[in-house]
Amino acid sequence: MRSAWSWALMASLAGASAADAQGKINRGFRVDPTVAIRIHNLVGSTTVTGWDHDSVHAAGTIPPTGGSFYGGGAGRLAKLGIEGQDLGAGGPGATLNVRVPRGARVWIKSAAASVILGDLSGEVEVASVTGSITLQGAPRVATLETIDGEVTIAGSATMVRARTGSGAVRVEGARGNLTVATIQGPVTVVTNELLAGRIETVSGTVEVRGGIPPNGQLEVETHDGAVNLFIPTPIDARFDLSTVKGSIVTRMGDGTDQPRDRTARFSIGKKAGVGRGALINVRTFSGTIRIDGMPAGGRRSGT
Amino acid sequence: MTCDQVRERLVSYPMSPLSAEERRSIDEHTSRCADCRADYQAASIVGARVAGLDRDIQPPSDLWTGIAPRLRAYRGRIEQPLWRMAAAAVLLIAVSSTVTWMLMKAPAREARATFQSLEADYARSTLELTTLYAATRSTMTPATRAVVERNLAVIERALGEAREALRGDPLNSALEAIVATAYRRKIEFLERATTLDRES
Repeated sequence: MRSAWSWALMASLAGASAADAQGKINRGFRVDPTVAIRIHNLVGSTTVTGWDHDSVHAAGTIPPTGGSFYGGGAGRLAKLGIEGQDLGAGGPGATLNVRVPRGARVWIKSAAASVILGDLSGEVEVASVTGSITLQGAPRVATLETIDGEVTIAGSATMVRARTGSGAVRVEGARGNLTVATIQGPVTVVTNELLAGRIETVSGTVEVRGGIPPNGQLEVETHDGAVNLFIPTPIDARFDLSTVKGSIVTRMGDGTDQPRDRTARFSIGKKAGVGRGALINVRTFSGTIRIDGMPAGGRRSGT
Repeated sequence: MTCDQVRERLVSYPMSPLSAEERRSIDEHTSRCADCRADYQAASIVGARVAGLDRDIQPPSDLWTGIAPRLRAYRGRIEQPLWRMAAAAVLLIAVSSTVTWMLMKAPAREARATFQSLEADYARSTLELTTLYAATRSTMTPATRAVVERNLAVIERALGEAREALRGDPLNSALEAIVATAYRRKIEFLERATTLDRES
């Protein structure tokens, strides 16, 4: 594997100079439809879009003293990016727009560069520090990590794992398996197709809007972040809520707040009463837990 | 009458004759219920035999004179002073309470010892990673360093609060889980922080 990557790197360096001399990037090469491609751009922006061609094409601009482009590869492996970037220099950084086969496996490294991914159906992995990450489309697996950047997931990714420190995470339309972890960052999830969801923060608030399918499961755990679940009713679900020092309030059916004990287990719906239905577990140390049953298709006033 | 009512009444029938009304109801029911009819016939036979027994049988005149001395001797063996019986009762309660307490507390003590061992491992890993982070932080930009340390401070505060709560309620398994989660978060975050320079 290492020799193949080295080969790809050598091929990339061989073809780089003409592009970066002008500050413009314009380079393409043929690859397999499921190529594994590594993209490296620390400052600026990186956009990766899937297309129906068995090739990679990179375009963009590099500011003066903003590093130089390298790129190349063949068959199953490819590598491209900007090298020689100075993280402390400031400035806009490089703009990199990359087209890859839709089924490619994409790995992206960023520091402060924003990353946008779209129309990919394979696996994507992004590692960043302060850059934001936006994922559109429906990749099979997505792993998105940043320390301070925001993460936005719009689409129907099958398996998503998002991790950030203080950045916000917003997920719309995820289905299947979702894992989100932040330290301070707030988490918002809007979905109706979540089969297995786990959301974890320290102080970040968690808001989930949408139904959990009858065979779905949602686990939320925070230290002192507030947890607000807005669940369309009617629903078949079993709730297991607990907090050490916080409070639990539910508002279902009649629309009035119902304070509960610090450990509350209850079921809603006929299926849940016989041990079926969605399973919703929420645990906090001191964060408040609020379950709000919304009439299906509408938003209750005041929420 | 129902079958259950008929059978309940027939249990006491041999010793307690039926009233005219009861008999009518039972006759009416048994005319259409073969099972109850069979039970009623059997009960009638027993009732007839009980009615024929001699009701004035006297026990032998020497029966009590044989029993009384043996009963007095037995009482002498089992009677104890009241204080001794009270002391025995107190002892029995104390011993059974202690055994129950030990049985209940033993698993909790074992679980606590297991958690303390786990917490020591977490603390060791955290210390190692913190040392590693201190060595690598100079390679980070000031902005990255500030972000990392701001997040670490949040994790540290949460860990401190959870540990403080556990100290006040050391057998609370939910608090143990929260402390363990806080340690895990800190370790994961430190692992990421210490590899940032290698990734870039």
